[in-house]
Amino acid sequence: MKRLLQSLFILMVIATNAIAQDRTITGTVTNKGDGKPLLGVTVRTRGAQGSVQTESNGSYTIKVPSAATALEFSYLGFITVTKPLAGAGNTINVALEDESKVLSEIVVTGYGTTTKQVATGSISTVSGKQIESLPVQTFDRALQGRAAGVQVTTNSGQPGSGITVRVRGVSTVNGGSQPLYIVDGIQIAAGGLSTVTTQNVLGAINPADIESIQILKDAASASIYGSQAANGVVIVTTKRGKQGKTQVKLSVQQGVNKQINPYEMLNSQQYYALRKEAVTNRALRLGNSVATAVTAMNQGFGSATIDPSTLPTEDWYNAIFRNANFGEYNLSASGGNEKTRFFMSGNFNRTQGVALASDYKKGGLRVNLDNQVTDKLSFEANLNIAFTKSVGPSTDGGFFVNTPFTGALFIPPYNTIYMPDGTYRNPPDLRNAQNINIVQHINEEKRNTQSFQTISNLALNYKLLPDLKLRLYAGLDFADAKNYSFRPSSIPAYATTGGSGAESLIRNINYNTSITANYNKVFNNDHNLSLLGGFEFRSNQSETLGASAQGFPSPLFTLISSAATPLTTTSTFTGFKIASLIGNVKYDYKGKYLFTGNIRYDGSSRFGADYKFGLFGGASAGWRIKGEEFLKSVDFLSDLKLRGSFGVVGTQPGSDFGAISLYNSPGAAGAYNGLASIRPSQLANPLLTWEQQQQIGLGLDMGFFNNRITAAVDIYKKKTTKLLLDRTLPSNSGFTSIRENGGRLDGKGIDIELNTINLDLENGFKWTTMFNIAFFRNKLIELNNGAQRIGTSYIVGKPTNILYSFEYAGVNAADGRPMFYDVNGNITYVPLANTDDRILGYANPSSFGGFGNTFSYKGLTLDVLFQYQYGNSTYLQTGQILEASGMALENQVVSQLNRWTTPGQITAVPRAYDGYTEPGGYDPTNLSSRYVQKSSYIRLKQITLNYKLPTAWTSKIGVQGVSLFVQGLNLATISNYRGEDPENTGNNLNGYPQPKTIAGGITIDL
Amino acid sequence: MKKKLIIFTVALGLFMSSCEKMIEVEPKNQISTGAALATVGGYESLLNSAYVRLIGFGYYGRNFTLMGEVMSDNVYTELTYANGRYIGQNVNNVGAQFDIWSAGYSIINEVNTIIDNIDGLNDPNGQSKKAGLKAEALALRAMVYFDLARVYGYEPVNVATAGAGFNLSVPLRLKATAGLPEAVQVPRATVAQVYKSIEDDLKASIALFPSGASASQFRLNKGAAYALLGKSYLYSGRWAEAVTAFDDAMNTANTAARLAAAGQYVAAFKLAANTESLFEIVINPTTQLGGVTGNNESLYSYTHPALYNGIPTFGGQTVSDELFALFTPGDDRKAMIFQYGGTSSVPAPLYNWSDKYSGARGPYADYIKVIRYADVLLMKAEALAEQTQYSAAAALVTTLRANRNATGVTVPTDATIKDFIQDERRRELFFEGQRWFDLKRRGLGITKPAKTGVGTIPATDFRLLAPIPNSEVILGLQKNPGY
Repeated sequence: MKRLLQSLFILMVIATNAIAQDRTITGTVTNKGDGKPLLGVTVRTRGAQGSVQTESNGSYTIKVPSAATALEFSYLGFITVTKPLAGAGNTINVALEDESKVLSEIVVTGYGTTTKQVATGSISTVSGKQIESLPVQTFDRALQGRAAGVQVTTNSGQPGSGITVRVRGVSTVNGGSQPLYIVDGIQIAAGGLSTVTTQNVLGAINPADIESIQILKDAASASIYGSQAANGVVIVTTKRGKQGKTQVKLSVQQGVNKQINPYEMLNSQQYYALRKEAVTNRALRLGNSVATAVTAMNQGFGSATIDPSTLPTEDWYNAIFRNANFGEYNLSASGGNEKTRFFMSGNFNRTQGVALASDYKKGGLRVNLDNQVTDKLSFEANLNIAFTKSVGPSTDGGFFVNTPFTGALFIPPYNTIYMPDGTYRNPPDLRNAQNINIVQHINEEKRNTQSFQTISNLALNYKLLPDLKLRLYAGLDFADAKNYSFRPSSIPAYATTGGSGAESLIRNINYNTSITANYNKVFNNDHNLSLLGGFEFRSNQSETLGASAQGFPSPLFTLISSAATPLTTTSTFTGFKIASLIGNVKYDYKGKYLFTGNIRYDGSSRFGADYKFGLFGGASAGWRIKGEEFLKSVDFLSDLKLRGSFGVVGTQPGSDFGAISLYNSPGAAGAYNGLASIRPSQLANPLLTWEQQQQIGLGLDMGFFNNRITAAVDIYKKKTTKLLLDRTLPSNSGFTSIRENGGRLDGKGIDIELNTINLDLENGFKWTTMFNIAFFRNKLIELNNGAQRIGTSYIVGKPTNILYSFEYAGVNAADGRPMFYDVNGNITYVPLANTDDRILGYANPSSFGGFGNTFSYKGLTLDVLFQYQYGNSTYLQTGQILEASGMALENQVVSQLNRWTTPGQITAVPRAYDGYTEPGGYDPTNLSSRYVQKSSYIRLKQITLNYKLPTAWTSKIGVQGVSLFVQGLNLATISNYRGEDPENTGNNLNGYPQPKTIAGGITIDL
Repeated sequence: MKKKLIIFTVALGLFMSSCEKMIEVEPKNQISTGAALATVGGYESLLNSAYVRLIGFGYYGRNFTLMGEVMSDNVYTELTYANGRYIGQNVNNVGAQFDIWSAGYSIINEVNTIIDNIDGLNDPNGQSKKAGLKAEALALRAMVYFDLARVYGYEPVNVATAGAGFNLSVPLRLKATAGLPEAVQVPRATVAQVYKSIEDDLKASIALFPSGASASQFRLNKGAAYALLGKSYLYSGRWAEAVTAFDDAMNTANTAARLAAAGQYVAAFKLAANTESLFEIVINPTTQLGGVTGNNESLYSYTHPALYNGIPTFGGQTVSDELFALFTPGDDRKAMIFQYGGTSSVPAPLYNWSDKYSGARGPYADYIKVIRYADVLLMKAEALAEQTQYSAAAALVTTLRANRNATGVTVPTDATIKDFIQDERRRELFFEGQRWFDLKRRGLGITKPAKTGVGTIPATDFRLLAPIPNSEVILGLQKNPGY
């Protein structure tokens, strides 16, 4: 070993000596993208004076003094390249890379940027290229399966709906768990704009306008956003223009959405037989006349005697779905000169949902401008406006029979949708169906949300000193939404009231403004220092104004002003403000020893009087081991970096006025005999403050075989304290709870990302693989005020989001009665609440991730992405209706034909018994493990085949490039889950399942 | 350097204090406690809030009024049409019981705020209103404690018998919860303590109510307070005091309520207010039952077949055969019941439905009769009978029956009148939320309608008390036996 070191040392001395002389170096600089020479590239010597520029053929000649250590090649819009002179010959050819092509290598860290090589945090990047032609209405959907540790769940099929994003698992009980979204520096008030259906605020950002998405996963990186950052930060950067010829791009995509996984329902004959069996069993059990009971049942079918073979069958549930079309159209132009660069785009999206009367239309415009006023002063402006119209069903989960996905379950199949004369079937001809013809409801109710949004900003950069830059920034996220719902009197359920209507306006004004100073300096060539300090202010306020009325003269008058009886008026106001001091320091020594520190001092109007300000921050350090001499010669290892981090971040109280004592007025609905009322609504808690999360992490970045294999492994532990919890107050005090800080929730996890180039053949065939997986587990250590549990979802010592109920023990083979386990594990027929119930599973997955392959050959590219989730359980609420052995009027899925019928029969489906509960028994359709299921899945999320026509053909018609593509989303799913869609988690009653999608399109570069 | 430091410190201090202003946001939909109660109008509004909580669907708005009928013997819940509503209650499943805890104590906290503070209010425009507001607040507190006490505990009259000595009632809170320090758990008081407090509050309110019979039946008033006092005596077995209080309640100096004339029983229920009402609760059809709320939640919807008169309902609560059999032909009260199928008039089987909640005050809306003259009259008869004054009791019952055209049956004048009075109460007050408590306090057990297949529930069955909410048990309140 010693000898090896010695010879290494000697080698180095010789190498150093070898360059210690004057020489002339020549070479050519080309564009890496198209291989063409670049004119005017600045070639500068480092460590000594001297620079030249390249000729039109890209060539240069430069005299290099002995003191020079390297040559630097810089060109606007391209990544600067530095070539060390040590060991180099006298010819140095360089291919410069277009900035945008490697933007994924640039890591946006909030108020600044760094490069992947020297980044010390755990930051996942999804490039715009990966998602720009996906038929998704909002970019957050496209993150699914693409970033380790980022769990995305699409729990609604309403196009443009809100979705669930969790970065590194759930680490809170009541706090928000969505990440903070930043779009070009604007802190977005994420959420929904619709009160009648669901519309995602992020729809204002056209996915095709996105250059890159970075996800700050570790607390040290996220801590620059302080009290808003505990759930990670998603930073979206939109595209900017580049100097050069204007690039025009047109893309058109058309496709169809289909119902993902229809239920298999009974036909009317099967249904009749099952109902008759249930009614008969009940009559026998109660000692009543079977004939009377069957006659009474038959009346429900329309007459005292029924010949079941004549009954028609209508599949109501599947009747509310359709094959739905969609189209997406994008046009963009980008370019610029030395002074001004621009990116402009327009887009239109029209997507029908797979459910009837569910639509999404969006049009948007964007102009991103950069102007270099002088060497010192520059402006950036991003202007964006979007109009969105969502039409769709209510998202209220639960037993609301006038919501489509619940209502359709409650209509027996022998009712056809239409009468022979083509009108809607309605009571009394619509029998045993909650008096609701759900198809009529869906088609005739009007429910829509129309919103105008802008997410725009302006920044001014001023170079005060060569190394010191000032930035003034203001960004606005504004939304005006109008919600409208109308229930015409043509629907019998609303006929008595003459139809009802409601209109409401929402205005959200959310802005943040900041002033930051950034100091960058390289000391002695090796010490890279960057300091950032600043002040930021954010204000977010939301106001609503609404009214409702009933008694419309006819279904054709649809505005509430035409109704006879005003019902309600509402107006609300809520808002918060945050003022913050920000600090950031980055330092590296020779790109080998890396350090980043963040600090943020946040004051928020949401905090209680005694805790108005909080300090957050974090530090991370890295060691690029590959940069060390002793690894230089290890050829197979192309990169190796060890990272460590610690950070403290927070979550703000969810309620804007949660800390103060309040009286409110319940409004007209709370008036007594026409007189207004007020009531105490909340006790004060001046101690209320942020939830605090500490996170410590260790990461390893690796590259092998010239980065053909790259991997990043992150392991972390989180500790959330001062959880925002409700202390249950004795309700005999007049108050049920107060929000306070307390308790502790720990989490730990591993994120693994792996990218490989499996094949890269001479003939142009290339096969790359992306794989990521995240493991996460949390554990509730302590609750507030000595509590041991919150309901049944949170129990100290257990992971969070527990599913808790009775354990179903199947069916007694002798008599078909449902059995349960009691607390001692013995069979019981009547399980006791708070005694026999137990933990049945956890709603959070233990692991999740994605697995993608890309095959390309010449112009042909095939992308295949799988996405999966493992270990989570789900409460199958629809099962309580669809899987009920025909015990009530609702139609059943075919699995219920396996109900117990004969002694000795082994089955898990209890015998049919009308009215659910046998005397001395228990309702088997109540929640139990019968309706709780592991819902792990793996899904073929996306498959895209893209063909780029040979340039030789397209150039003949004066077009730079033409690509044709076909793609499919959600085409196949492997899961044991009995519901429609394993992503439709939680209580899935009235869940709108996401569709599967098949699309084709064309992209033209002019 | 030192100077710089000072300047820096001062600057930072200025900056932070300006920051504190910068991050102030005032709520607009709510106001702070001090501002809310600065005028008498604040107290009036607070009292309105307490009243309006009575119409909650868990309380008088539905469950407290109808669910007792379902849990006892006046209702058979027809599964086919009930849409799951009250199915468990009708067969007395464990836990299928009243839950008025949270509504009750919210009211108590609001009236406590009034009782605690209104004497100290100095509002030149409101001095004259203070006594009346306090009287209403006291009477309301007594009424809500009375309801809580009879839902969650035994009555003084049967603690020793049906209750087997279990003498815990509900926590007694007579001070408002002004802040977190007051929001601590209070143990359950005894039945005697709670009934004492009810008596004290009613007596105090009676002293404060203005004299005269002109008070609105839509708010608590002197007559109603006397009636409640009498009722609490009745539940305590204090028969003589009960008779006196009932006399005061019916005294025309204290109330305008009077017995409806013969033939007017059905019509009186459609009036606002019922001429017999001592206290009646107002519900607004548009703001409180508008949209689909009436269909989903109202008493009308629960007690009427679907699409009767074209109105959609979730009706499955039918009049039990046993109740229907109690009426003699010609009885005005029988006319309150109509026959209809589950969803239409044609196909058999037909059911008996009650039209007591007929939507008289707008779609799905009926005012709720909390204390009615006939109820007071029958309670007085009961108190007399318990003192063996059978003839006096019989005279009262006969008066009532005459006003209902219920002739042809002689009212007994011996001890059997006690049972007759209970049957009369059932005929008179069905679907008004009395039956459950009558059976319970008298320890009669519950003979369920035959169609339910449940049989008889003995008076000692633990299901006669509602379970104390689990959240309270977790916070240290003692459970009721059996749960």
